[in-house]
Amino acid sequence: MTMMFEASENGGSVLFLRGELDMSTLPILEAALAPLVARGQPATLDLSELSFIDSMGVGVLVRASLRLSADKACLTLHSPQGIVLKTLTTVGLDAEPNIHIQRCSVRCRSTAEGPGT
Amino acid sequence: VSGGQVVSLGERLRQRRTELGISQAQAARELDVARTAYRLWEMEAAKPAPDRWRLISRWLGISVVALLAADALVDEEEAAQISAAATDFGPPGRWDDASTSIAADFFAQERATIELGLRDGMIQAPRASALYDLLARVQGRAEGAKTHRSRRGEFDKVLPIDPSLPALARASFLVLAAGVPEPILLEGELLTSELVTHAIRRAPAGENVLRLHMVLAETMVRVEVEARTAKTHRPHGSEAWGMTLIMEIASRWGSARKDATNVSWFEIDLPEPGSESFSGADVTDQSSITTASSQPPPGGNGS
Repeated sequence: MTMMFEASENGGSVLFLRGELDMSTLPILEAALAPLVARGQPATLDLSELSFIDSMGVGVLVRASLRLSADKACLTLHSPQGIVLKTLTTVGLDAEPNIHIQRCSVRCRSTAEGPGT
Repeated sequence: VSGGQVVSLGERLRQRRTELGISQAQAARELDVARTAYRLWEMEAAKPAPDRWRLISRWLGISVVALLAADALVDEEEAAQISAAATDFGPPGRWDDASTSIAADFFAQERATIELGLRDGMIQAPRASALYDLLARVQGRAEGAKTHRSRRGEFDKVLPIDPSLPALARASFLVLAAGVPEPILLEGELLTSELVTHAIRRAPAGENVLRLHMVLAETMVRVEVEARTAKTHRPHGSEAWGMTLIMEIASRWGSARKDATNVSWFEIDLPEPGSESFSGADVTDQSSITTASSQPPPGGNGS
C-alpha cells in the first residue's frame, strides 16, 4: 500500500491511498492520518486507487471522523470503487453524520492532476 | 523465444508492470480487464482469453508467439515453426498487422492470414497445412485450459499468525475460487479477510498458528477458520463491522466453540455455471450494490 499527500484546489490537502488496506497496512494509514486529524480541518481521502478495504480499515476511517467531529469537521472519502464502495456502504459509513462519501462512477481523482505529476 | 529459457507469463506481466511503475489496478485498466483477473494472471492462477493475447503481447513488447510460449500454449519447436512462417510472410510485425486488420476472433484471424499467405505465395501448401494443424492444437489447449478448470477444489493449511496473514489468505482464496463470477470472488475475498483478521485478534498471547480450510464446490464456496481463542478479549469497534459484512454478504455463516478452539465459517452460494449472472459478471459493474442499514458498533470510537 502506498500513500501520498497532494494539494487540492481549495488549498487543503488530499491523502491519496493506493493498494490494499488491511491489518498489515493499517499503521501506515494511521500515521499518515494523525497530522491531518490533528489540524481539525476538513480532510479528504482519495480512494479511487484503493482496491481493498476490510473492517480494520473501516475502523481507522471512523475513528478519524470521530476526532474530526469534535472540531466540527468532516471526513470526505472521494471516489471509492467497486468492492471498496460496497464495503463502505454495507457497514453504513454513508449514514455516518460527518463522513461524506463522494461517489464517482468513473475513477475520477479528487485533484485535477493526480499523484506523481 | 530464443535461447530456450521461457519466462512465464505471470513473471513477464509482473516485470513489465514494475518497469512501468504502475499498480495492478492500472495495469488491468490498460489491458481492459478486471483487476482481479489481472491479479490472477500474475499469480498464474488464471490465463488470459485469446481475445486478450494481441493486446497483452503489445503491452509486453513481445510477439504473440512469444506470449503463447510464455503461457505454455506452444512448445519451442512449434514457436520456431510459427516464427519461420512469419519471416516468410514479410518483415517483422507484418503477420500480426495482417491478422489484426481482420474483424474476427483470434483463431479466425490467424487462419485468414495463413490463407492470405497461401494465396499470395508467401506460404507453401505443406507449411500452411502444418500451420492449420498447429493452430488447432493451440486452440484445443486454450479451450482445454478453460474447461478443465473444475468448479471443485480445496485448500487446507495450518498457517503462521502474523499481520500479513489476511493478505495471504485472500490471495489463497482468489487462487482457489478463480473462475467464479467476479462479484462473488471479491466478496469472498473480503469475508476471508474478515474471518482471518478476527481469529488473529482473538488468539491468545503466544498462539502462533491457525487453520484455514476453504472448499470450492459446484454450488457454493466455503471458508472456515479454526483457531484457539483467548478466554477474554478486549472487544474493538472493527469487530462489529466485520460481523455486519459477514451477515450481509454471506449466504450462510456460523461460529462454534469447542474447548479453547473456535471454528468460524461462511458460505456463499454460486450461480449455475452458464447462467447469465455467471458468464456476464463484471467487477466494474457494481449496479447491484445494496445499502445495508447502518449498524454503528458499540463503542466504535474506542480504544
